[in-house]
Amino acid sequence: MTDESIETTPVFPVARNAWHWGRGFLDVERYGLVYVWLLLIIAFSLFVPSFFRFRTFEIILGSQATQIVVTLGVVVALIGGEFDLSVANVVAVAGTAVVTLNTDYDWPVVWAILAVLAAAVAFGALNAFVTVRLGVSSIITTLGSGTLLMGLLNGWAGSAPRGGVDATFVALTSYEIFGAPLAIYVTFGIGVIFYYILELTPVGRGFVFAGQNAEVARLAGIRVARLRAGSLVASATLSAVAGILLVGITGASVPAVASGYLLPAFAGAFLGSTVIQPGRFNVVGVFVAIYFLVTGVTGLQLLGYTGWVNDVFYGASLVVAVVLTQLVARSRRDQLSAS
Amino acid sequence: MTTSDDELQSSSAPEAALALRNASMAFAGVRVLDNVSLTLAPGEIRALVGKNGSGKSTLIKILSGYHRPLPGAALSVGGHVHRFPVTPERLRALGLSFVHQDLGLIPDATVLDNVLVGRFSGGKLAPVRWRREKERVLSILARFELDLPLDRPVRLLSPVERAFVAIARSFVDAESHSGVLVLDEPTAFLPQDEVARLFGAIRAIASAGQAILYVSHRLDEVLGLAESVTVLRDGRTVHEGPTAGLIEDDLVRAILGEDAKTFYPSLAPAAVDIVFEVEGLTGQGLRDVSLSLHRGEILGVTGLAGAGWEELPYLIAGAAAAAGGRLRVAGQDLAATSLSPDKTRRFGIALLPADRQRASGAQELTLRENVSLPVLSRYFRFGLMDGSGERDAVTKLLRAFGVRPPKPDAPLRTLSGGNQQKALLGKWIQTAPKILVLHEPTQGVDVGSKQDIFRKIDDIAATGVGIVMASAESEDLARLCHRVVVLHRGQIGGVLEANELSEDAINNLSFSRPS
Repeated sequence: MTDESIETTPVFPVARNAWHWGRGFLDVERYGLVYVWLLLIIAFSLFVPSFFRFRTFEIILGSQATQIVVTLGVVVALIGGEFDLSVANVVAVAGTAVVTLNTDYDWPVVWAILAVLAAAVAFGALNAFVTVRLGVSSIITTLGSGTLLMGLLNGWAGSAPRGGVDATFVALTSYEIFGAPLAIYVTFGIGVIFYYILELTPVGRGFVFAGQNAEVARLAGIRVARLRAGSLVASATLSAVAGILLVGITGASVPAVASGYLLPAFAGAFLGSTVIQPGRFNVVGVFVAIYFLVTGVTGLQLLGYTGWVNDVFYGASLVVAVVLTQLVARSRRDQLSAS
Repeated sequence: MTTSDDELQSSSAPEAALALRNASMAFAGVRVLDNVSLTLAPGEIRALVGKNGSGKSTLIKILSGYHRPLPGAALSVGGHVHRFPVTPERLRALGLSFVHQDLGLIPDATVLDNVLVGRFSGGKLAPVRWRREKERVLSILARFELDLPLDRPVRLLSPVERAFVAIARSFVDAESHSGVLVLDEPTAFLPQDEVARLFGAIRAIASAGQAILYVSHRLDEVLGLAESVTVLRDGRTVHEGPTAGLIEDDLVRAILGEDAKTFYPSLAPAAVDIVFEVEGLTGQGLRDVSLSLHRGEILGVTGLAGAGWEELPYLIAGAAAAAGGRLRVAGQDLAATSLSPDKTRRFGIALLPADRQRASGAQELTLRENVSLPVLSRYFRFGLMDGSGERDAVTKLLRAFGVRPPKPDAPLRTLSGGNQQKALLGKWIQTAPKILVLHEPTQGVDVGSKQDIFRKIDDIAATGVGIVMASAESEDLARLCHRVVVLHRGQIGGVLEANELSEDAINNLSFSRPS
């Protein structure tokens, strides 16, 4: 039960609107992580000598293409209620496949990319079939399929790093505009597309709803099974795109490195769910979360900490962020339930 | 106004099971409870009634330790006086136990575990004596004449059985202390024949010395079970006294502050043309059910528990799988086996399920998200969702359906059952359906909201929408429907036309065999 709350607002209507708009940005629950990020930047700028440089910011901004795209894939699946644990394997396989097709089989790089994307769609469809049709939990399905895929790749192309991919492709992907590689602009483009689909179209809204309460969505006529399947195809495809971008940026495929994208993807997804739309996985949150994490790690690395610092920072950020969100949500719930 | 401990002790009956004095509560400057006092004698069965906003929920929350009343209030349980604030644990230890509307069961745990969680006899680390514990629970269940499999996970039980588990758990507490048992809408999901069994057990517990405080919207139950009643309105006690000699209209008048004659809307006559027909519908326990619906007609569907009337709405709307039969609507002849929710929606059939927690509403999402769900494409213009247009339309809809507060961004769960149901009814009516299928439309809904919902149902029937209303509330069906179909063991037991309709006729037909 709720009471109609008595709001205290300034007298003049104009002032009242401005007040609400301004107050909007002070909403700690919605934008807390953004503020922490800004504080982090300020702190590093003051205390870390080499931090406050244009080049540092350029690097931070431009270096996360692969990670962000993988995280977006994970988030799309999470919104629909599925855990896709095969994303990192798809990154590795997609990259290696492109390189192998291009160098060993002399396929033009464009054909290699298209073929790999098609294969990713098929792989996602396989995951979807087992999860949605056969009813196996997505965690188990994707864990199994990802491992299987990785095994097949090792059998086909070996697990060694491979270079020599089409030089034009690499040059194009790494081409710097305003100091950031083209790859990151592609990433922003993908982010905008998914933001649009999820927030600004009926299909996306229905999908988000279905992720929260599948039965209510189904009874409202939404094709829940179809959307769930689609989300798994999307996460596989996005992971393949991420793998292709990685090859473009680095000029090589290193399968072993790809596995390092999995945990940060989930960390970014969950951390991102504490901001912009607290309690829900969302696209903008992914960007905020990943950039926050990278800023932290970069600053710490400039201070001289390496390697282990990544894990500590990722882990600690996630725990602190989730705890803060819980505390704020709890105080909000207590206010609301006063009746 | 402060009450001293001595005053409290002397002014209450020598062994009052419960005495609450001068409880007041205010939120954001608004008084929701104003100097309410409540005294229960041991073995008394008292009903507490009042519409949404009357202060009833606040009072219960004070008793359960969730809220702290304004200074001046005092509480005594079994003669022991307590100052506020009191913790819920302390209240339980003193003998004040609760069964809330949401039951509070663990879905994946067994019946036995749910009943005894936290109350296993023996020390914390002592091994559980399973045989003894099983016997303990079985003896409680025997009081209900209930046969529940102790090893079955609660999520596999029907709503009826789940309610019994929650109540059995509360009686575990009641056994070990004699005190007060507060039941908050325990029959909201129980069909008629189960309710009688519950009442038998409640009476047995009361005669053993427990005081019972029974909160309910069902006034017939209140009069049938309770020996005394307290009516709250606008935070004050407006009536308190024995139930003997009272009729429902008296209670409705006290609750609403207006005459009960206006409670049920007057029926507009239905048209002659048929808008919807099922033939030979089979599945989910139904066998060869055929019926037709006229334009503007309100058709009631009922029967005993398990008769199949609860599954019928979902079969018609394509939400549950049918095994056979045909459906004729909007000029189409469809196989019942080919139906799905999106298909029936296209032909103008809208379904409002009974279960607001799982099937009709997403509790954690906002009113706006819940209400706009079936019509999202309406706000999709020039390739973009029109957020403010959507919000305005939703606010207008909430106001039109009397949802309070009409705030689109409030999560659904923050509203009372009655307001939630009004919003969800609006959600479907805005899709301009040709046939509206309702399953228990006023379940868990307060008297005031019930009135609003009935008016709305009648209004849209008058515009030509055909309505199928599946409900166990025979009195509502008798007063609201043009015709009532009674199912018996999966088949049609009989049909009552307007001139034959009455609560008794429906009940009789439900129990008798088909001719």
